[in-house]
Amino acid sequence: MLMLVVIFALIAYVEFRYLKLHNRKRKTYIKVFALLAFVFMYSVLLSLSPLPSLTKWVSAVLQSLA
Amino acid sequence: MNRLTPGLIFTLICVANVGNISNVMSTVIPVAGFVSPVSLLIGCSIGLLLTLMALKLALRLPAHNFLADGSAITGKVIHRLAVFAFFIYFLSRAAFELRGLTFQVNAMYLPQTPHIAIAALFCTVTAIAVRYGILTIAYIGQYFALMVFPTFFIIIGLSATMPLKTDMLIAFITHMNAQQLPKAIAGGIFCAPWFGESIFILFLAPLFAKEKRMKHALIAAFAFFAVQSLSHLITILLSFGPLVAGNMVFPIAEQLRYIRVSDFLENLDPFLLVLLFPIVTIKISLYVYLATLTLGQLMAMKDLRPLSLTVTALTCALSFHIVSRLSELPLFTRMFWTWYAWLIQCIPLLYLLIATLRARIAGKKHTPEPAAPAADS
Repeated sequence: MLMLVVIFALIAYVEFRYLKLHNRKRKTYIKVFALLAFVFMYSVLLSLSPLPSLTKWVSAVLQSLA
Repeated sequence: MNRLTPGLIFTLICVANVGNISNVMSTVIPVAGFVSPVSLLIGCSIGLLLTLMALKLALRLPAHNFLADGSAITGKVIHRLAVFAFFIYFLSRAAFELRGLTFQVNAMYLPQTPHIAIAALFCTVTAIAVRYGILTIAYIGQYFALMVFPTFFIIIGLSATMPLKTDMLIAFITHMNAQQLPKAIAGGIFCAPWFGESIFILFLAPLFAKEKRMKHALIAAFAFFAVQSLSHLITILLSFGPLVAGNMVFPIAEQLRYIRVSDFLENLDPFLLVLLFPIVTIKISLYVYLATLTLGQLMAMKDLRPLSLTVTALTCALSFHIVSRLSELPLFTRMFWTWYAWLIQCIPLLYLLIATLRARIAGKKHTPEPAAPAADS
């Protein structure tokens, strides 16, 4: 969990520096950081609770159909 | 040079297909058994056909840019949905490949290391490669291909020292008859999506140089890969039989362990796998780059660099979600991936069909037809 926060903070810092260096629009900042927030939430969800894997889920759905 | 020449495309297709033989084996051998070499050839020709159609579609568009100009063919909404489908496809392909690599490293060399550490190691390299763009990936691929492809032919030569069984040879020859043809075709259908992955050239078309010679490069790449895969497949079938070969998780690594030339060359696998890992990493970078490209189009961003690190992190997270145990890896390829990949790889074909129909209808409208209104009324 701590590692996740560190890694994503690093990514956010690198992206922020890059965007600031190249004088990007406000819209670009919003797009990039919204995607980063989505990926962070997804990783936190995966690390906190072991969700059933996609393969298991899809095979269960296929078996219930057949 | 800031263009993709036919030579670079040849390398990229070879790099994208290099680890596929293990996936092909785990999907095709349970279906086709001893006739799987025939189904491999059928699958290879279907894949070549799909790729050539994708190339035709790309060269038909004005700036060869499918992502920007494809909406002229089907309309904006459907094109956006198609691009989103391609994004999910490339992302899950990269995640699946990363998961396979993680399992392999964990099972063979670093048994005590947690999976997340191995995946993070490969993801760091991938993120840097993706940040510097497709040309960097292609040039690195070329350097490693120069070393790896001769080595693979040496492995095939050394495979003669494997314990090949005469019973298997007799069974292999007697199975080659017309009665086995339906089995071979079923195997070919399972095999085709692994070869049809080369449709990614559709997205790289704006960077092409010498478009006219691209077709030759594609045919050469497929012929090369067919020869390489066939030699691996036949030696593994003859030494292990279809039942064992169909349930192997890492067939090439198993094959390497059985090669014993002399005391000096007793264990070849560290040397060869050291060459194999970079090339699989380049393959993952290629797919992550394509996912970034499609996502950039969806988010209307021209500069892909700010997205590269985030998409790589997403790939890493998805790779742990997609398959959680080693036993689920063949299940994923067999049950789910084949049909999904078929669905996605037919999208360029659909686009080409719609474009042809529209061109024909538009052509009819322009030609003067005085008899047509009279027939309608």
